[in-house]
Amino acid sequence: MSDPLVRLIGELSRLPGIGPKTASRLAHYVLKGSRSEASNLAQAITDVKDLLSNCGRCNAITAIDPCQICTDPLRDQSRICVVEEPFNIGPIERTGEHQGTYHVLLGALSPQRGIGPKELAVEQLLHRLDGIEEVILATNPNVEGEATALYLARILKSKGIEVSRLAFGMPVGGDIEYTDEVTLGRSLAGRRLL
Amino acid sequence: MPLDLALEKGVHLIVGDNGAGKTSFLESVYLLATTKSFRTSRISDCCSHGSKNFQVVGEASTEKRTRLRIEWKEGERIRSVNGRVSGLGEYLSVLPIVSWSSGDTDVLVGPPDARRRFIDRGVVGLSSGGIGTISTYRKTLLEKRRLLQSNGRGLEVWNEMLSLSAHNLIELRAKYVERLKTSLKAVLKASDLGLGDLQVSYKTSLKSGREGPSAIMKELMGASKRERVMQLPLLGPHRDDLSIRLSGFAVRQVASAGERKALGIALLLAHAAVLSEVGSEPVYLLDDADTELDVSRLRSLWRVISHRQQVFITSNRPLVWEGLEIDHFWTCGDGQLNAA
Ligand SMILES: [Zn+2]
Repeated sequence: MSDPLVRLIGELSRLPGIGPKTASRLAHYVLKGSRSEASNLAQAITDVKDLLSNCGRCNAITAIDPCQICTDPLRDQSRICVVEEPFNIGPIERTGEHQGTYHVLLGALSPQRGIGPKELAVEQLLHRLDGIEEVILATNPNVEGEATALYLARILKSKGIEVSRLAFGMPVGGDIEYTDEVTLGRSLAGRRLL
Repeated sequence: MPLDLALEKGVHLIVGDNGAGKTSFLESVYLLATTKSFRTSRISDCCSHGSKNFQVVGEASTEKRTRLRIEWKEGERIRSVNGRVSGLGEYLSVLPIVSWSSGDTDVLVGPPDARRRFIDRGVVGLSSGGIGTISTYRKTLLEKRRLLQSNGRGLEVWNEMLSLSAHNLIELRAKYVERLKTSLKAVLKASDLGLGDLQVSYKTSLKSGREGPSAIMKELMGASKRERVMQLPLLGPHRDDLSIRLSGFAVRQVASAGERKALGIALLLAHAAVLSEVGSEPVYLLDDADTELDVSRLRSLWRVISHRQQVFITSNRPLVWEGLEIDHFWTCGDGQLNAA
């Protein structure tokens, strides 16, 4: 087995946004810290994989399947907000503007990255349409996200479902991950019917 | 070699032999203003003697002094405005610039992509949303191209996306070309170049180009059979052209080298006039401005250029400039500029 430090640096540098320099700094930080700090970190990392999974209904990350939002009787089950990734749910939740449920597509259309409708959780969404009044398309306001919204809007409207799109006051090319709560709340409240 | 210069208002004439580094000087000004090179498409070619890193720093003295910095560090381009890393749109708005060098004759006689780049420089200068529109169209086109190369399924969605961004881009291009035509008329009148009737018009690849997104969508769908066979997007602004005709004929058929040069600079002056109308007056860079121009044409153009705020001209023939009002003389040699 190779040098443990080299191994840790190697693993860390595979994370997005972490270059070899940062990875080395983090590894030395862990090495300097206590044994318990290190095992807490290791445990937290494996727990994420052992204890969490995608909700079978909406694909959100959850410890219990189906997730809390899907089973919450106080939430409006007739309105689904469609997002690209699980981490897009948090910011929308914090705006307090959406009382319904979610559906995570697990990506966006992009022929360049080899992602077509079959690679996304579209079929799964279509199976959830019983009793649904409105689908809110909250994919990113960039080329891939807009194309995905267009694609879904066509299908959903043909099934007689009301479809709306977030009214982004931000330039195309944006990402809801980097949008502040106030702006995101406004774009939800001011969503336009497609 | 580091070079540090204060460059005042007025017309600067930089004289030196071929290979003395005159163009490199213009290059660095252009690079600072646009983050791109006007000679080479690859910025790394600007690095001298195989060095990997370089930077150009400059301060634009408009109403507020703005510090621009473009740096090329280990294969990455870093641009900042007043010490802050900035978006391309913000960066480009600081120091508007127009340039003409020998390669730009392509705009008149070369393939259409040189003319599309020329129009798009106008689109970017004319509208703050121009860069976004161009980049959205490009990204969408790349996705569509890829789709056609794979199985071609789901083309409709990408055509609809394309019809929206194509519509935006076509409208901006048309708006710019209209203004260019007006300015060109004024430039030709003021310079008295005696070139005959010069006609400029925007040719859209889409017949329905000006009829809105749904008409564009219909036309795109009409081409889809052919596009699937060719596995290429055949219609759209990426196939547009700017028609430039002299007395009813293509420039390449009728114009002499001298006429081409004069036409090119007239076109550049018209472009600059459009930029001046919507924002601030650009800085002018004219590389080897006098080659191919006879003295009378040079003087004609001079009537328009000499009133501009800041102009940089390179030449290896100091004599032809005698009698013209030059504010600053520089000589160039061994990578150094010296006030003459
Ligand atoms: Zn769920």
